[in-house]
Amino acid sequence: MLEHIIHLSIRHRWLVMAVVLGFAALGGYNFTRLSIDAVPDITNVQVQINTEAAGYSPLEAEQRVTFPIETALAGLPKLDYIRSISRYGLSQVTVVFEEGTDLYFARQLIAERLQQVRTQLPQGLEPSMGPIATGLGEVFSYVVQAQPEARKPDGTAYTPMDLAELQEWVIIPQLRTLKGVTEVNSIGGYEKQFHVLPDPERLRAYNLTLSDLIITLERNNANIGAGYIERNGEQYLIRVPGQVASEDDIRDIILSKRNDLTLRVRDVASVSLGSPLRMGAASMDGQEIVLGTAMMLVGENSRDVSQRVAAKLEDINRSLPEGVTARAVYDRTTLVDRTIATVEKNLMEGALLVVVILFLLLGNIRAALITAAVIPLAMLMTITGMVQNKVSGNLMSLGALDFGLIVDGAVIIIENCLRRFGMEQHKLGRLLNKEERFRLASIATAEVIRPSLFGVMIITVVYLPIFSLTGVEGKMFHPMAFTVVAALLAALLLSLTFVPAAVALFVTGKVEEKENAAMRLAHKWYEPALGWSLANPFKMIGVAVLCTLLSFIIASRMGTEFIPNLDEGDIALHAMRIPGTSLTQSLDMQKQVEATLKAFPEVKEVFSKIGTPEVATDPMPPNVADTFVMLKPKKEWPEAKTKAELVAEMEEALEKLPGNNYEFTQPIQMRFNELISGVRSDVAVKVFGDDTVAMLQTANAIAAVLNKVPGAADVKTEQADGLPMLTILPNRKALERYGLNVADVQDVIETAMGGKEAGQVFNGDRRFDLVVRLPENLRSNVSALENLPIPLPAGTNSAFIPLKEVATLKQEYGPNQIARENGKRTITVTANVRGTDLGSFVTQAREAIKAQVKLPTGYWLDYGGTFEQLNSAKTRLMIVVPVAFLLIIGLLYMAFGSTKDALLVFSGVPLALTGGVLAIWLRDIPLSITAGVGFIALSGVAVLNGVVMVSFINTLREQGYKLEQAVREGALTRLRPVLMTALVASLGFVPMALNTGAGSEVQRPLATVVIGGILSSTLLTLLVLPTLYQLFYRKK
Amino acid sequence: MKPQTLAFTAVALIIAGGGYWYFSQPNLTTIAPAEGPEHAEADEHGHAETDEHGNETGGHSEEQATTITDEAAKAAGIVMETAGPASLSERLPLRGRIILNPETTAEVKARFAGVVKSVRATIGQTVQKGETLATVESNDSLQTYAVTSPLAGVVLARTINVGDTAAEQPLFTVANLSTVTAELHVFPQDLSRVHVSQIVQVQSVDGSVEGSGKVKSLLPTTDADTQTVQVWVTLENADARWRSGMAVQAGAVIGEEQVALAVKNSALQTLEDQTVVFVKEGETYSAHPVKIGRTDGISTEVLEGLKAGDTYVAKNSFIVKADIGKASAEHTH
Repeated sequence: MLEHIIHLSIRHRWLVMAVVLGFAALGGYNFTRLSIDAVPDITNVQVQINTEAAGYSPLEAEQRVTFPIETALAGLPKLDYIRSISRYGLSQVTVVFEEGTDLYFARQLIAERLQQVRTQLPQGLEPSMGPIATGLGEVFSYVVQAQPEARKPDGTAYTPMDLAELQEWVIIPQLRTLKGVTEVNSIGGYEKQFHVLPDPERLRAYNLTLSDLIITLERNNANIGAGYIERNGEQYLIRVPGQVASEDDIRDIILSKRNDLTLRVRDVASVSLGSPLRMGAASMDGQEIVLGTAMMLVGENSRDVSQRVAAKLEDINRSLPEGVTARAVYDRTTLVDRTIATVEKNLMEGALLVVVILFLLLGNIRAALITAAVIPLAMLMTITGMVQNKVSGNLMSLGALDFGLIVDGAVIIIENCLRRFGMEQHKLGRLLNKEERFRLASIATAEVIRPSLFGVMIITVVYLPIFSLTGVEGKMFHPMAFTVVAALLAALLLSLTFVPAAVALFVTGKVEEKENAAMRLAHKWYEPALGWSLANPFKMIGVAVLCTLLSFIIASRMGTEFIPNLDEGDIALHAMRIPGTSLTQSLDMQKQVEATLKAFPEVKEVFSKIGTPEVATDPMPPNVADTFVMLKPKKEWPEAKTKAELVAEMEEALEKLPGNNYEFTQPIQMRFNELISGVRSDVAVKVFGDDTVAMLQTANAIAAVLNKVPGAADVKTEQADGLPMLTILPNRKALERYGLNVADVQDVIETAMGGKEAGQVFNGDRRFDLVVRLPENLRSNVSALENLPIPLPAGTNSAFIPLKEVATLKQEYGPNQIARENGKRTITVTANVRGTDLGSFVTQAREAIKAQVKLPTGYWLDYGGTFEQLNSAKTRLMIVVPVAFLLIIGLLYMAFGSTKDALLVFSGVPLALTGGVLAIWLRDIPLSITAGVGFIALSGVAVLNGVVMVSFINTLREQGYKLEQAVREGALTRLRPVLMTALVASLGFVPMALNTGAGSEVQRPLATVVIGGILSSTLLTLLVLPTLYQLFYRKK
Repeated sequence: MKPQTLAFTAVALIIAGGGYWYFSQPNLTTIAPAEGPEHAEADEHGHAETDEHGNETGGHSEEQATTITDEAAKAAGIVMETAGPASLSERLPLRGRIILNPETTAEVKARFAGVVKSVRATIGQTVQKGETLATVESNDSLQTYAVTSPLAGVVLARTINVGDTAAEQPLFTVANLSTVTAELHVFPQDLSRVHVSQIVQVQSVDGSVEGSGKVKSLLPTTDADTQTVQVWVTLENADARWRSGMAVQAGAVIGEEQVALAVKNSALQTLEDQTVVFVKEGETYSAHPVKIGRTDGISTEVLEGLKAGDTYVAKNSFIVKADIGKASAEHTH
């Protein structure tokens, strides 16, 4: 059948060319549709439900918001688990669905349930779902800044409040409607509000209460419509405007009338612009700024979206007031462009090297060009496949493509064609005519198509274990495996059709039958070596086995890294302070952090987000700051150093600043960690229970036990407490005496400290809250709070008592956050494991905890952590890897119809791996999945060459050659293709192996393995394989 | 099967087994998603920090300390002061109104009922003791007699005009305004801290009028609604700054005394449920648990845990607290 296809392809060569061109064009079109991102998307299917509960402490947020929401969501179809976190002023419930659940379906389900739960929540609280975005969503960040000399129309300088107002009312509305943008999140600056700040003493003097003030404000700030009247055939609408528009309007509102005297708001309160209690702030280079982040809708192309945002921002800048700018500080385009540049570079260099090597070895430029053409064609076809299967292009999937390996099949075919052409020309003593060329191309292709087909199939089979990975690992590596397999299949298809057709069409000239200088030199060295090894088979095999064993020993001692760390080119770090650190304090400390980082000449910009942004996509407390360090391009660095060195230097410098703890990561990584969250350490023990104090005690006891288990490292208890609280405990007896309700006292405190809304002030389309609150100097003064006047019920003469008469003020430490999982409170103890194996550690830890920690009744433990994933991945690989190897043997058996030959070829795999192991060991690269992919590719090459070699020798023997003669002849004839595939694959990888640019983390191990492995594999195919073959068939 | 075949089957099995063995390797550890070696370093570092502290805890009996270079401390705005004696003045905040001094206010009535013949005094007029305010013709004797001021003061009210009939109702209110009384409300829990002749500083609500006086008396009764006791404070009012009816706030000086050892309130921090002060020795800052006494809102008396001459962190003490606790600072989601 294969022969038939080849034959047809040659006969309909023009059609084949046209179809190939058509595919290429389709690929080119799809390239514009390919969603390109820097890294694979590893976010699970999740929906966040954020509820802002202003003023609620963690306990209240959990009790009154989180709990009802969680309860309502229980039992959703396809639900994986629910976890939640309750912090000051915020409840966040994260619902994780099973893999493969449609996100919109999931959101729909949640929307229905939220509708039901709304009535159970305290009034005024609105649960809302987080943006429809993944961890790759934050594609674009910008800062809104004012020039120092810029002035507002009234001559004053721009304040962070003005910038936040521009952000909210000018910039965000325009960006939010862009295609592909699902949300624009803002942090920093001060939200504008109109504040009425009463002096409690004056209110008392006039016998007025805070609620009198609120009611008055509410009653004096409304527009009323009153229907219409008809007059002379016209219809007049009636409206009674009564809204206040300015601070002066508010000041002039009449509060009450006493003895012919009108008492106005201005008499008891000052009115000014203010802002609500902030949950977060942003700063840049030590200055407070307003930061906006555009979030990309799931499934959009990040490059397109960020370019769209950038273009729109340019537009918006024109409409901003003089001196105020919105400037991009983080643009995903840069990273994506680097990714594309890497892929382009690989493509170009790969093609160039292939052409050069093929030309050198074949001496035929046309043949070299045909082979090289396979690279872009296969690439374009792969892209079509990726688009069809919604696989995104990224450093992982595109970065791991190795074009040398892809063209191997084509190389073998072309080499054989050229050899046959040369022989035929030599025999006939003239150039071939068209018919002869076609016939010969068909025969020569058919001769080697089976081995190369099997080679490709085998490589595909070896990728099976990767497809079996699930979870984060799966998401990380599936695109890569898919891309490689797709590229191989495309190349295979091309070798079957395009290559023979092109050879038949274009290789018209004289083909040198005699080998060129390079090949002659190779022959000169190869012949004696082969002769020696055929003469001393056992020595040769002994050396090979020894090498293999040695490399196995090395491999078992090497460091491992499951998932490589993709370099995003920028640095992000968490700067963390102890719980309870105030936003202002955090900002102060952050300024120092920023100044320290900015002092590095490699750093372009430093900006930070502190606390929670407006849309609580990442609910951070104010003691944590996400710091983004944008680096200059490497060539602008004053001295050459690696990023790891730079990070180490930064860490050293930052370590000198008191009071901060750091965690270095990268912007996208940071986002992934926030979203996937879960537990990031090896082992996690979760304590489930009711009482946070008892849970914390148990957790601490568990931590102590874990610390003693051998191999435990970094044992940590979740920071669940330590938030300072000022508890105002109403004294019920005293309240009773005065005839007060608890709520009377609570209302006054709420209004005085937190502020209470008393309507809105409209300013065109913009609207600002009107809030009554105590002035700042009184709010922050505990003694003033103690003396806060509480109005007594009407009917008594002296109408006020101080707060301390009816309540006790207590400073204490309460829960910092309350985490819940699957509907129960939980505190997590985490530990990493060093120097011992995870499985036995977990068993030991379980036993020790069982024996030494007494759980309160109704409390239970759950064990989790990455060890679970690791275990399941290992279990799966333990089955899949041997099965894959058996499959290869099976395929080889199919190819040869002989167990002997199959095993003979398969014996090439270990020796090929030997070289790879040695190479990465010498370069001090840990074993990783990408290195594993290199090994996979190697096995393919080794098998491919082995198949070609063995099948050729078999053919020779069938033609009547004697065993020894056949082996020698076959090996010598196959020298050229074996060398060619080896050189193409290994030299093509040299730039990759030395690469330090984007994607180098993926490519370096891969390229190193392939280069090292190909050297050993070539040696094997050329020397050991013929020796083994001879040994194997000698007795026949 | 031939021996060679067997041998190769063995090789294949070894390889397959090797694959199994490799993936069953215990040391195959995951570096969590998107987490680089940098992070691992950070973690290790954080951990090392804890160890360090753990050792210190063992060595210096319950003392927590950290080291900050002087340069870094200066950059962080840490300010030192020396603990020593200080004078504290504690005040009890009170509220109330200005009332007329009840002992120097008089309502002037006509001795005999009759017709007012003339009125000499007008509201606001200053009068001397014995000065004639009005003349009244008695209904009984038809004699005209003078109504005189019983004290030197100011005429605050006048209810009559010429021709009116003077009867039982007062004709004038005359008060001596050289002193006024501040009527202040003391709540039961504070009552023990107020006593006669205590100095009280009084201020009008808007802060425009200030003065101080002594507690003249505590009324023997308690207001039934508010449960407060009224305290009278006499205020000098020679320049008539205080006007009756004015709402005032006041502070009763509880004590102005020298204490042997005091620190600034901004130096106090809470660490593990203890009030601590950070003491600097060299570049090491250690937390000293202290027992505190009285405070006046600025300084606080230290009873135990500190000695005079200790250099303590007076400003930005939170930074030191944060540095001690930083190993536990983390970011969970």
